[in-house]
Amino acid sequence: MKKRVFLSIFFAAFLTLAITAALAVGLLYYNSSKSIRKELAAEAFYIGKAYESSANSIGYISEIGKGGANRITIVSPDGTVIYDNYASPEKMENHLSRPEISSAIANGKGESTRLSDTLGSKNYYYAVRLENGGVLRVSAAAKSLFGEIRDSVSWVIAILVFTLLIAVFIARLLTQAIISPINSLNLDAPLSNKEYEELSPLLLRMDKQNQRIKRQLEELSSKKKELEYITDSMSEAMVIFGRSGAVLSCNRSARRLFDIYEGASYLRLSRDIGYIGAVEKALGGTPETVTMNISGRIYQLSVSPVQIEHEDYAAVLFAMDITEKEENEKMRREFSANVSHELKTPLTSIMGYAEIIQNGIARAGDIPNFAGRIRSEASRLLNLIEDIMKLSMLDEKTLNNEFAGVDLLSLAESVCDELTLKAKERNVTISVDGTNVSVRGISSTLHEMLFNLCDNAISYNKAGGSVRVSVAKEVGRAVLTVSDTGVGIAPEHQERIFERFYRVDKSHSKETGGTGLGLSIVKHGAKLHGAEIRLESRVGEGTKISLIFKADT
Amino acid sequence: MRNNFEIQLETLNNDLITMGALCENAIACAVKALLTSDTELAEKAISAEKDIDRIEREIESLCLKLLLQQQPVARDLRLVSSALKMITDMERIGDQAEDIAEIVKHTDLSDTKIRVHIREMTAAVIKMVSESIDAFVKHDIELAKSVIKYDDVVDALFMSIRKDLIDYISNDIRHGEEAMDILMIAKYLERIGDHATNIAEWVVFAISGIHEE
Repeated sequence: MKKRVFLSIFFAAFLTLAITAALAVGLLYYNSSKSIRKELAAEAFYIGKAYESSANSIGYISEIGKGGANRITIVSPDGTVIYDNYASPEKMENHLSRPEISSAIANGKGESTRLSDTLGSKNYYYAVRLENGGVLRVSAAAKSLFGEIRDSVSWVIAILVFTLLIAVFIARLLTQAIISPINSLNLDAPLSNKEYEELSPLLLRMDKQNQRIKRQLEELSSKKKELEYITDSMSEAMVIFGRSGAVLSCNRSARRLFDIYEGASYLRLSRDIGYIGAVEKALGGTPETVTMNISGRIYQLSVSPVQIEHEDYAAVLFAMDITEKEENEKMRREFSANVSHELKTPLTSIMGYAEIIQNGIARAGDIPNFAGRIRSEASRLLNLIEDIMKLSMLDEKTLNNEFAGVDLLSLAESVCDELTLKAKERNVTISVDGTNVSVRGISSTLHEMLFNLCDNAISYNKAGGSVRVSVAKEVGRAVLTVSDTGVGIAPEHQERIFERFYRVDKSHSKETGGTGLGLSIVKHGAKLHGAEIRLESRVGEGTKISLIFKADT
Repeated sequence: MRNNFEIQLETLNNDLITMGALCENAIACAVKALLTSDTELAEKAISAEKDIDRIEREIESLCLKLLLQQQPVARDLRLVSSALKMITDMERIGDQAEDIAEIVKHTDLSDTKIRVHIREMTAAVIKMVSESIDAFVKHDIELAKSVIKYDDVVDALFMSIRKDLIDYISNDIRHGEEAMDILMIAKYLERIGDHATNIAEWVVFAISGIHEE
């Protein structure tokens, strides 16, 4: 636009200036030739009068002719040149046919203008009739317009250039003046611009569109924010990859997990080969799920391709922390392996004894002994199955509705009564002391827990040792402690004794009996009752296990 | 609108990271094979070397194409030229990992008592390689410099393994063959550390334009 305005103004200005100059020159030239002719007429008149009134007319004329710049010619009525101050009259032809001469003879005066042979100059002739019938002609030569221009060509060019420059200058100034308000239009507030009325429809429309765009942007950003809030509150990491594999969007969990930003390459997240392969596969159109280790935790990454209108695939990645799930899975696998093993061992013994008896290999005297073994193995099996059932019941938490007030001291006393016989067999003394404290709980489970603790305290005791069960009431809580003077538990085992089937001394587990699930039941029972377990133990000195319950209010 | 040059540069960047990932994987496999005497993992490390070679050639031709067609300057030129140097080091890392895997495949080293220092050394070397590539990915000069410094740790570990081995042989001359293999592996690991140092130096050069020898 600027160029166009500039060119228009420039041409208009240049054309105007050039035409004005040309017309002015023409007018001036016309005026100058007019005045030449006037002067010639006056001169012819004066000379004619003087010539007529002078005695020595030819002498006079030649006097004038010598000093004057103009050409003076005197022609006789028959056209013969009598006098000329520029050429010798004898060489000149008859002048009767010249228009100014013939007109002068006929009308008393005549004039004519002729271009000279060279075109560069123009001759003006004025003739008057003398009294004797002859003609006096005065002529002056002046440059023609063409000649004038030709002679001052450098000036003409200079003037043209000057005009051009002026035109450029004017055009530039005007263009600037016209364009600058347009350039400085405030497009953010189109209606505030008042310079050009002609722009107002455009500006009005622009204002409308501005408002619409603003509204749409607000809508978009609010939608985006909403989405961000939702994705940011997800615990799973979510990353969206564009077609080139650059991160388009990621939520807060992803930023925390991977240290990425929008626009980063997918390779920045991780250089795990499985991960890279999964993303590349998804960008190729196939979904993929891999597990990956990120700073010590296990994550499951599922990468799915996304296709929009037949273009190349983009991909969405979800990363889920499955560490706990994996661990639980591992524990479950170990548990089932352990259970099958533990169940199989007594059954194998039973099968063996039964086969011996069936085949008649056993002597009659041995049969009661074998039967006793079969019985003890079967009871072991039964105990084991009972323990597993209890444990799974605790796992399922199906006992919630049986909570009732239980007095810990009387519970402890009843457990001790049951175990007195076993304690005597092993030469261990068992005693109960403390105060009556009531807690909310399931009587059978609490009984089971305490029984297991005391049973362990007796089983893993030394001959002549003692087991002491004490119940104490503290502020807001009840503490049940079972302490023994037994073998103790080494620190490296203390963490693990509550695991299912964990044995400190694996080789002698059969002699001490038990299912390996006792402390596990204690742990789950305590969890069910919201109780805390504390373990203090020194190898060779004894063990003290405390259950800390919240007091029944 | 992004032009072809930028797309090519990004491809180069991504290819370099991928090659780094392949190298990390190759060493991880080789080292795991070494520590667990798992020949399957050793095979994996050996086959990873082929992938590394292939991507090295790809990157090389991309670099040359960039140099010839785009005539990059300043930072871009540094990236391209350091990429050309880096892939050589990465390729060597792949080779060393393959060499380790070969030894693991053919000899049983499970009885060797001086595993402790080897274990430390493998951890140190994996850390170096991984961090040198991290430094490239994150344009982290400080990390690159720390990798360069960490090479001393690896060198010291190599010396202590060497000392261990001398004791090991002097205890029982029959341990000689095993000790030689371990020494070779330690040397390969030490070389990998050197290559990681080189990579880190080129990362520093690509970012800052200063290359220290």
